[in-house]
Amino acid sequence: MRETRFQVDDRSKAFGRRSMLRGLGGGFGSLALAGMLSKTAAQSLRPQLDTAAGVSSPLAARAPQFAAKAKRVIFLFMEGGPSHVDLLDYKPELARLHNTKLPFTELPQSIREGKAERPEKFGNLLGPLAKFKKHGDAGLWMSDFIPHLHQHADKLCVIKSMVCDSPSHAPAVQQFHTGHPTLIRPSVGSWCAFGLGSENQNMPAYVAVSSPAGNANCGNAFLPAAYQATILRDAGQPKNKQKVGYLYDPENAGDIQRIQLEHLRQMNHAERTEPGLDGLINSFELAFKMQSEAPGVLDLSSESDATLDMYGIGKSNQDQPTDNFGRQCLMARRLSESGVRFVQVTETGWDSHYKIREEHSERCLSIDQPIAALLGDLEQRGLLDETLVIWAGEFGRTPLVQNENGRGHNPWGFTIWMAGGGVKPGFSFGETDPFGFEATTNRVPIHDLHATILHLLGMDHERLTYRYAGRDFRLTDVYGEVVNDVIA
Amino acid sequence: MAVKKRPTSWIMFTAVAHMAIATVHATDESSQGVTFFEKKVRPILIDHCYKCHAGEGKVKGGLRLDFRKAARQGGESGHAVIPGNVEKSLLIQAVRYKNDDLKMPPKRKLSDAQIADLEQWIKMGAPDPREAKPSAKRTSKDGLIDASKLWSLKPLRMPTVPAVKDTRWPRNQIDQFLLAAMERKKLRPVKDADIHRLVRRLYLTLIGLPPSAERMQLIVDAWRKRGPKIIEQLVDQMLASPRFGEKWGRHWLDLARYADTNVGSFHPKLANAWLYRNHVIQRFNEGMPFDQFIVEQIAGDLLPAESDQQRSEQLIATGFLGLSVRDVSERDGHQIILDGIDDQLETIGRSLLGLSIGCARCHDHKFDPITTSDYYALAGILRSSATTHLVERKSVFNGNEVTTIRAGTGKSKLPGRGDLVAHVAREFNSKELKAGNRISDMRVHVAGSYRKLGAVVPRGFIQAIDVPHVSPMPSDQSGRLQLAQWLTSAQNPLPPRVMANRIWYWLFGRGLVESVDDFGMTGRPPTHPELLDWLAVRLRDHHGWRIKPLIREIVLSRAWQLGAEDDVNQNVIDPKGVDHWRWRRRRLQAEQLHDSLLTMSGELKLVLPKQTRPDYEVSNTFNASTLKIPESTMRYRAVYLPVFRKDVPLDLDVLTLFNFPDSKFSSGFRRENTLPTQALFLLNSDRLHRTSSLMAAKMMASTPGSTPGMDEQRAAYLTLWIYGSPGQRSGHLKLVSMKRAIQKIYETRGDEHAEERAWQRVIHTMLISNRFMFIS
Repeated sequence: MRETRFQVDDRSKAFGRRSMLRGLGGGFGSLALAGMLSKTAAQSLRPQLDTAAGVSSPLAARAPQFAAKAKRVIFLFMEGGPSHVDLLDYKPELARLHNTKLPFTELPQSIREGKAERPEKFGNLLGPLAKFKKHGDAGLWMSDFIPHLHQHADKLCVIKSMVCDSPSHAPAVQQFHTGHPTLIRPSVGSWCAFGLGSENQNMPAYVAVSSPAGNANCGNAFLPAAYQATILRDAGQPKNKQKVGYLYDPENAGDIQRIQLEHLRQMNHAERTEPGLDGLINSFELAFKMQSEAPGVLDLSSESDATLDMYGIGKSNQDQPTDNFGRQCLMARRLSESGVRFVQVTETGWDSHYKIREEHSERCLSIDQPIAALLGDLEQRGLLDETLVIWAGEFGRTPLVQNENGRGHNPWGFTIWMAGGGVKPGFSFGETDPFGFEATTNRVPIHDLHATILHLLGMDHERLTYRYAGRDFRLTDVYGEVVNDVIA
Repeated sequence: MAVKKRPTSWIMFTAVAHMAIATVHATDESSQGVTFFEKKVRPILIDHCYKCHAGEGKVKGGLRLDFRKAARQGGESGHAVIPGNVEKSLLIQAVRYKNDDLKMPPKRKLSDAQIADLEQWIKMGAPDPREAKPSAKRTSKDGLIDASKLWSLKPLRMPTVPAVKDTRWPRNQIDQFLLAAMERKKLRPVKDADIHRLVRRLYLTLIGLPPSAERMQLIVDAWRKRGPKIIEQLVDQMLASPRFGEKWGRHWLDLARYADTNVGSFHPKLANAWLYRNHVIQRFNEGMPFDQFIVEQIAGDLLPAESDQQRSEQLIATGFLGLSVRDVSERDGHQIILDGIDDQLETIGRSLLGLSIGCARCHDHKFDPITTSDYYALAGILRSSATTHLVERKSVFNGNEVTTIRAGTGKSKLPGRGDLVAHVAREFNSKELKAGNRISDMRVHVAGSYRKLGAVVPRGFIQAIDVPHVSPMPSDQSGRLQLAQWLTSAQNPLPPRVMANRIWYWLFGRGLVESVDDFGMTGRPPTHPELLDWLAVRLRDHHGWRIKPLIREIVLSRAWQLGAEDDVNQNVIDPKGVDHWRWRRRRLQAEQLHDSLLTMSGELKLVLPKQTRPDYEVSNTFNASTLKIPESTMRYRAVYLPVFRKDVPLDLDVLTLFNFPDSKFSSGFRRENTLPTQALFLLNSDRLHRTSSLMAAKMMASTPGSTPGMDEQRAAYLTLWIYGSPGQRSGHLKLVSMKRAIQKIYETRGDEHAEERAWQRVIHTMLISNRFMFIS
């Protein structure tokens, strides 16, 4: 058995290092070198660069460890904690007992002990704020807060039994993105970029159209910087603003820049850097390539009116509630289509402690049509099968009313959905108790979700490791089980 | 399994026993139960079963016995372990050797005593603390790392300086070590660097700024007349310059994970951190012995002081602990404290010992000789101190108004001398907790959780580092002073080795130990072990822990002053240049780039700002990345710019993109990578265009007119100005041809300032070329 174990070890190492070196897929040549030389000595990426005949980019596309169901991810993150009991987790018992008081002793321990918020802030049960009906052939329960999404019921794989480890926003958001609530770890997008590279060498592997509060949530932590998110600026803004930093020459003088680059090449040739590092020049070449490709990808003006309408993007009226999120979703589709491995879009404003009815209906109004458009658009373009779309907040909300018209934080049971990329369509998994306080069957912790996402992308979460500070780190730390039940 | 033979085995066993107390499972898993497992059962499993029934990949019969769940689940034949049911547990049937189809271990039957132990264990309900599936890789089979094998823990002794064949080449003993190694490998040092490159190298390395063209000329003229003495004088001048601390203090700030804001949803400010930053700069300028510096960093508040000034400086020094990374918005108060302590231990471990202690929070370290007991022995020391200072009072964090960052506006000036101690003591209330109340030893936190407490571990240090007890741990003090003494003890070989190596790294760009923060099993061994020990002993004993004289010795060595020329043949022998036969070029680091650009444009403000703390109001939805940093603030040296732990403002891209460290970790290693985003910044950012415009304007103003020969004169001037070297005529002519080609384009556009703009583009190109971007 010993031999077998060694093989496994070797393979997992090769995955981190040799395959990166071997897969010389054109790319931008020795640019990679510099990226890879940027190792801390304690890292596992220790390529024998000097003898390698050639090296590929750290972003070169890499084959997954096993056959993948999805090639890329679009992550729609609802920051603040959307209310599962008002959107997707239908609780008839909660509706029936609306505005009645549960005896203190019948409340879950988490509420009684004030694990998230002070118990005295909570009042009666608050029934669902919108009507629920079954939709699609699968008969998924969905509320009228999200009417556009009804038509896609048969694409959704809903998980109603999510749990996370912290009742506070920052740690919970961080755990959703990095696996750990407080310590600094690479985000799931960075792990995907590290594992699979980018399908398009003129584009980054990981793009955040908009990132949640705390850029560390999209950070590469100790992974090489090539795997950090490129965070778009002014995303969702109507005008053609600069979305990746420094994409344009201030005078827009491409001809002059050409002359500069030619001379730069000569000057640098005379002043070579370290052996094998001459490719530094190439980073300017790549920058030049990005200058030519990225603005096109980021420019929505080539989209048809029909598409803009579908996403709810206001051609003249930018105050249209769907305008901003519509632009972001359309941008996500364009980025995905161009080969970006992991795209994140974030919508804030879900933390409704006081006026949940008004605030949630506003939020839903902004996101519902754009998300429905995104799913339809991906399907129409034949991209949905290989694109995993994830919709989630960091936690859900309490079935009890808080501050008279709000709901509190609920990390003990909440709902997310996925679509496309290898998940069971029109499927519901897991349950909460009759009121929606806590997940009761098939609990899915964040680590399990992460393990599942990696699995769908063809990676074993236990073998996607990176050696740092003397140990092999994983997205799932020492936890995580793939939720096979949701995989098609 | 050799646990029992190891000298440190008792530590592990006590640790394990501690865990036992708190581990409660469905079955009766009392402490005795787990102790029984650890003493009797685990060794049998490891020695006789794990070879085929553990780890990832194919295990025989699908059975794994290396963690609880798998053992109970069993393999293809059924449940291996059924708690309480001796007869039905297949494990027992197998070891009894009564069933011909099921005899384990296959080669030899276990002893009767061993079989009895296994039966007894099952009867007890098979208590088993092995919750988590072990990760695939392990250095030793299942135990603690053998400390005696770790090179960095061996006693530190002055090595003999080796003899060399070519006795003319070495300038000092450092050269002798290096040359001896080169000679063994048949390598020859290349030529010395030319004087211009050497002067620029010294400037950027020692004070972090490039020399002006005029100053360069003066130095080179003097050197031509009076020879190498001039270089020595130059080095002495720079070591005495206040600019030195601004460069070298920053090296320490990397290790201290210095920042002006903390993590957490409402973006808390570390509003007084700047006092610590200035303190570090001052201490580096003063040349305080490093052992004293360490004591102040860890226990400054406990030291006697002769004046208010001294007392407040010593208090401020403990900002090293107070800057801990903790998320104060986490609701779990215990967790905040424990995470803060973890960060402090990790910072102390990495910066001073080159060991990552944090791993031992949940389990004995897998690679380094640090046990969970060691961890909680150290943690108890920090738990007994209140070091949550520096965070501004929470009441400040309300309102959604975002104002700007200010610098030196005098909004919160340091109070006058009389109030200084009171002020500092209020802001830096690093202090001992009360004896008998909060000063106490800690319990082992099983798997790092305070919800599962193990046994008490007396406060103390890492057992594997053999330092005879400094002084007994007093019951009425936290033990920080003793910790500082332990760190600086002459018997502790790590801090001098780690620090000497860091100084080498900061001067050469690569450590003799390449993994500058990792002197453990997973780190790299030193390329020149004797030289490292020579430097460490020299630092500690000869220079009395003073850093400046060691820097002086190294930069005056011939090896440091070598040229960067390549040699194809020697590259084959030593492709990475670890043998120091040539200078290894390095790119300017973030601060060097920022400071150099400002120096070039003439915008640099070389004054000490009173404070550059972030001045903004914070809310839950605040995102600092869009925070504007005023241009006036941006003109200070990079070391004085505010540092953000989350949401770094885009205005600081000049630092962020060029690998300014992440202030959430203590890290002594600066990455040097090349990314397209950096190239985009260099090509298109305002910073570069602004700098080159100012330079072009300045040059045009100082050389008015446009005679035919003027282009070439200007090109020569730019070469000296930007590259710090006169260069050659062919190079000047190339610049002229670039200028003319670009000028033509501007002229066809009808640009009135075509010539100046063309020069601006030439200057821009020179600034982003390797000659400027690298220290050669």
